[in-house]
Amino acid sequence: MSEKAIAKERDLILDVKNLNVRFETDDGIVRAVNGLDLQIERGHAIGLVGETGAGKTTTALALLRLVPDPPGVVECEKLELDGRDVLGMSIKELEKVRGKDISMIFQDPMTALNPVFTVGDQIAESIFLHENVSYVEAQKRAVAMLELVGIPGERAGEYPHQFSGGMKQRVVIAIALACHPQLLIADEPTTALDVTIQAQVLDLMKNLREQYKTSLIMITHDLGIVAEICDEVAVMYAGNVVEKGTLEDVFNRTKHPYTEGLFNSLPNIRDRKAMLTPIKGLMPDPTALPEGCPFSPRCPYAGDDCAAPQVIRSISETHFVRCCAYDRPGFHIERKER
Amino acid sequence: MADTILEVRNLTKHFKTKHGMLHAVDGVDFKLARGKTLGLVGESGCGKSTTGRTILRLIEPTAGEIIFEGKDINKLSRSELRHARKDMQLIFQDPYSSLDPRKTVSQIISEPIIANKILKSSADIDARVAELMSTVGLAARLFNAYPHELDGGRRQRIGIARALAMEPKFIVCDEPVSALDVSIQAQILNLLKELQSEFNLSYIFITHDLSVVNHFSDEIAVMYLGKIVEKAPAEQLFENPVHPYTRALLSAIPIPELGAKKERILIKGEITSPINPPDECRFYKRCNYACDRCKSLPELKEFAPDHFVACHLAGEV
Amino acid sequence: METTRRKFTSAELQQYKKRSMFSEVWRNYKKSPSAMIGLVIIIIIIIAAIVAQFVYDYDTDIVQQNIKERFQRPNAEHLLGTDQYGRDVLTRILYGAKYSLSVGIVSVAISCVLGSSLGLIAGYYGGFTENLILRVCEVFAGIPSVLLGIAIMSAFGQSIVVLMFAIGLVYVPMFARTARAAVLPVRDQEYIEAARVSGVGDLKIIFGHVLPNAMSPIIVQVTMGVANGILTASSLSFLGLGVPVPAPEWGAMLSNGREFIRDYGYLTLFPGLAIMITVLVFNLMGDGLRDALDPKLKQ
Repeated sequence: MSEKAIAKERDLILDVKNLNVRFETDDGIVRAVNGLDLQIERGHAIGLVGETGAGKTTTALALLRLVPDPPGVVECEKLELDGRDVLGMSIKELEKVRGKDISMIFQDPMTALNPVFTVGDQIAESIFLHENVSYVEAQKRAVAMLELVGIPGERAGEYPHQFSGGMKQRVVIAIALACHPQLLIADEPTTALDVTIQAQVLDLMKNLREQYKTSLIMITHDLGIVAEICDEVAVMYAGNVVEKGTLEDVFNRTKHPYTEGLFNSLPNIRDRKAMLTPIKGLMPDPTALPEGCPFSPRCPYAGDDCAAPQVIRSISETHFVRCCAYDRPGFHIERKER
Repeated sequence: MADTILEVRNLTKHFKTKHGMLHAVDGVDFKLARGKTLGLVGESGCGKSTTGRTILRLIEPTAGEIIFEGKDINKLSRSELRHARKDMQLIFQDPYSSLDPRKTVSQIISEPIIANKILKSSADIDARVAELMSTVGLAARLFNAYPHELDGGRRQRIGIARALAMEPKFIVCDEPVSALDVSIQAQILNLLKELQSEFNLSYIFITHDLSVVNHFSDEIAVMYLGKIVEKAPAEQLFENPVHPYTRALLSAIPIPELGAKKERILIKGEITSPINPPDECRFYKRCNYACDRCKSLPELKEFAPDHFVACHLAGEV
Repeated sequence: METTRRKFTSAELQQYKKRSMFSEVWRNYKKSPSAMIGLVIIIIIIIAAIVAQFVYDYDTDIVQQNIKERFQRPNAEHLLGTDQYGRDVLTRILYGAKYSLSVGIVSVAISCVLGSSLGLIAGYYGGFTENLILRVCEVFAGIPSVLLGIAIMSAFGQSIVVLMFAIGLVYVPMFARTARAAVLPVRDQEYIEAARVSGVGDLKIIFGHVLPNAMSPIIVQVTMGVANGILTASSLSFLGLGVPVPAPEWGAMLSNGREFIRDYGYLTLFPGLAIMITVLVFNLMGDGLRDALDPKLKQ
């Protein structure tokens, strides 16, 4: 309840309430996102963390209303972008919003670019579509964008295959930022890249974000990347946020057993002798999610109370966790506060 | 190192391409002690996978010696090689494409046993498959399952069981956990460690993930454009990296901790072409410290005990 | 849970014992209604063709002319009418099924075995072998199929066996190319490499791993090949090089009826329908078989 009060004061760029996405397939109904709430303040960067199948990418697509229908069915109580209702928009209005106010960077730079157009044209296209400028002007701005992401402007006339993977991802970033969107969704933007190139790209994204005050949703499975460029973290499991808070909240005052499990699964670069403690078992089948807490079958703290529907509870003004174990007196997880 | 199971000397693999000679592996030397793990780290295109496959002669080396338990693998005939491969196995990166989608779990695991005529009767083979499945932690009910019915972690266990079927002494693990989620990755890493101590296995662990290699390896070799640029015991390498490339690589790892922010060394540009590389330090074009001396190819020299570096400026910068 | 390592006994294993490949495929094949319809029809056609051999006499029922009854439209006595020589069309179609079916099936079997093997070898080994096989195939594919058929038939004489081989050889390049194209994506899969590490020989890899995974396009090609075979056979028959003239081969009947297509369209319609139904049935079966062989579709 306190969350609602705070939301009014905050300047929200994105406000999502009770987002549900399911895919109705021949093999059953895949429940990809289940009652997700997400608020992002203007200028903030939030990391959406989770493993394969947690529903991260589906959430992102749902925000852009890009979930394929059929088989996808999206239900949402509220989806507002900068105070405007995205749910009620016509296709025309949506097209204006996509690429202009909200844009997305995809995981694989190899397939995100059209091989038969020059990179300059591809950046210019986005500017030309969304802003009231001549094509020549759009081309000029495209060259400027290229230089901004660290590619010499004279390469604007080259085709994607003439660029390496890291360069292509820079081009994709240039396209995404060309119209100065208010919200940028980056879906695993560096997973396909080598570490040293990843470092370059992350560095670039961080600088550009600060420069343009763009809000960011960073979808990733890598907690290291989150620690590096985000302000807040939302940990997703089986289509819902299980823990959300500032970096300090989630990294240093971890509350949810799943988040703890993720940290314990990671090799510690400072202590190579430390044994890894994997989370037992596997992701639940999204066509047959367990009753109550979906993590309970894998959870070392699971009790009878976990079979009840879970509600999100607030630990502090910024820190939220979806775990009923905190109703048990004196409950705490093993991971120490730092 | 007392008991060396594998020694590689001047291993070289060049591929002919339209544009010239591609130097995939260029004079690599290392030793692997029995029961130990050598981590082979580098970015895509550095030749680490080619090195692993050339050691097994899945790719014919251009030059070099591969001494495995006293025999030069490179000099074996086809039938001798087939025999020698029983002791040398490979675990693949992609648990999807490395399993034949039209074979059941038991057919996949039993394939090496049947191909090498280790066991004859189908009852014996089934028993052995069941034993292997339990060794890697696969449930008996999966005996006749198809790979596509299983998740990545279980598939990787099938690949491991297949590699263990011949009771090998040495396994090349080519990015065995890169395609897996973190929680599953930890399960597989723990399994590989357990198997190592149970069967006294020696591993070459190929990966691009430095935090994993640090956790897993006794010794680490960092490769760049077909050459080993630095080789040292894991702790030594992480605490005191000498080569500028190793330093940049280590500093680029995102650490999942707050306040862990260290000084990041960004290296400029991207990996240069491995086709007809000039006779200068392979890292010359991207190195922040490059000087005139770097225009000749540096050799891998012992910088400190067991710590080898290929850099003219080692210890100076 | 798999994460705990635990021994299990062979008795425990018995319940997961191998299901036989055949029963597995059959179980999946049964699930497709269209494939089952195809199978039922083909069985009916085959039984009819066999029964026809015993019921009718070749000389009196099939080839003997009966001018009085020529050009009778379909009626109660002659369900599909009679032709220009007064022969019953239904009888001839039933009797002639053996020519068309055997030519179609045997010729496809020949071209499939030869062509696919060449394609598999070309695709798997690559390099010089591949170039050689592909170039030779291209040369043969460049010759019009009927022309090639004529050449073979005139060289080896006119008989149904030679006809089968002629048509079989004509379609070898097509199978070779299909098989090679299907092998290419399979060849680079890691499980091929894994089999090599396991010490499996080349032949076993080709037929144990590559072929099963490259099967789908080949099966499609087979079903189309049966159709092509029947049609090519009829072209050759029309030119007087296939099955000798009075024999009621479907293609020959079709071309015989062509002269009268304006006035007596049923003379071409019914043999044409017979060919079409047979071809369709093979296509249905081919699709069903392809799906049944794919473990990914099994549940």
